[in-house]
Amino acid sequence: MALTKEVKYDKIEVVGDSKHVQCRQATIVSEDGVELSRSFHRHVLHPDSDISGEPQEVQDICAAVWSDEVKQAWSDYRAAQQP
Amino acid sequence: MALTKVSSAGLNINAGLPFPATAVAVADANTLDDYEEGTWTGVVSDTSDPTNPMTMNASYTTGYYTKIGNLVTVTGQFITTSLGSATGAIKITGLPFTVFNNGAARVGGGAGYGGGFAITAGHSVNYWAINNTTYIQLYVWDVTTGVSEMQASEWTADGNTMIGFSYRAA
Repeated sequence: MALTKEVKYDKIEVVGDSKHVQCRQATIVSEDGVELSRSFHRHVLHPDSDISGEPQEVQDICAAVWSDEVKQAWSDYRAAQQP
Repeated sequence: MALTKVSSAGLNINAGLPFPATAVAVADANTLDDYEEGTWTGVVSDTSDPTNPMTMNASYTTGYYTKIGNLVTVTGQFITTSLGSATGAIKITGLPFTVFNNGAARVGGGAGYGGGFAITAGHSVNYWAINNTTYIQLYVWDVTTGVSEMQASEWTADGNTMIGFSYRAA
């Protein structure tokens, strides 16, 4: 009987005109290869987020969808939200 | 899925109703197309650009979420141990899904608890989820016209609050 725990991003979604990248991290516990449980933790990346600590897969998606136009539009939106 | 009976009385489900790992969005407003439970990390920060996050108490930075269709319900208690470099207006970042970008999706609520604040007795703290973002802005009911933005100086180093509300996901 071998219990294993795996943590991985099992869902990465690009949402909205601002190209928010929604990441779901799954923690999977298995016994002899049979999944016993799966729990989720989420966070969202925006075009100005620091992604240096993200997996390469996530960084690649961000690089693909965060064009200069998207970044500028997000910057403008953020500026409009400032008090 | 353990679907044991379909009849005029409806579904009889004895082992839960699983949804696919990747939601299959359905435009029909009468169709439930997603369900998910999990956790998120809330961080109290100022609203400068880039933001200055406060130092969180590691035991009070995780909240729960449940998403049913496009409606996300979040809860959590968030406590800081230091203001760090935070100044000015403050917010709590890290909502698990982006707030839908439409004025009709605006939503807020009142803090269920407050501690470590430096506000006037009788005033209360509330919040507003900002469209097209993943944060809530904090406010204090302290002006004759309504609210003003809660300041880092009003939160203080050991600030502590509970939140719980539902919002429409993008």
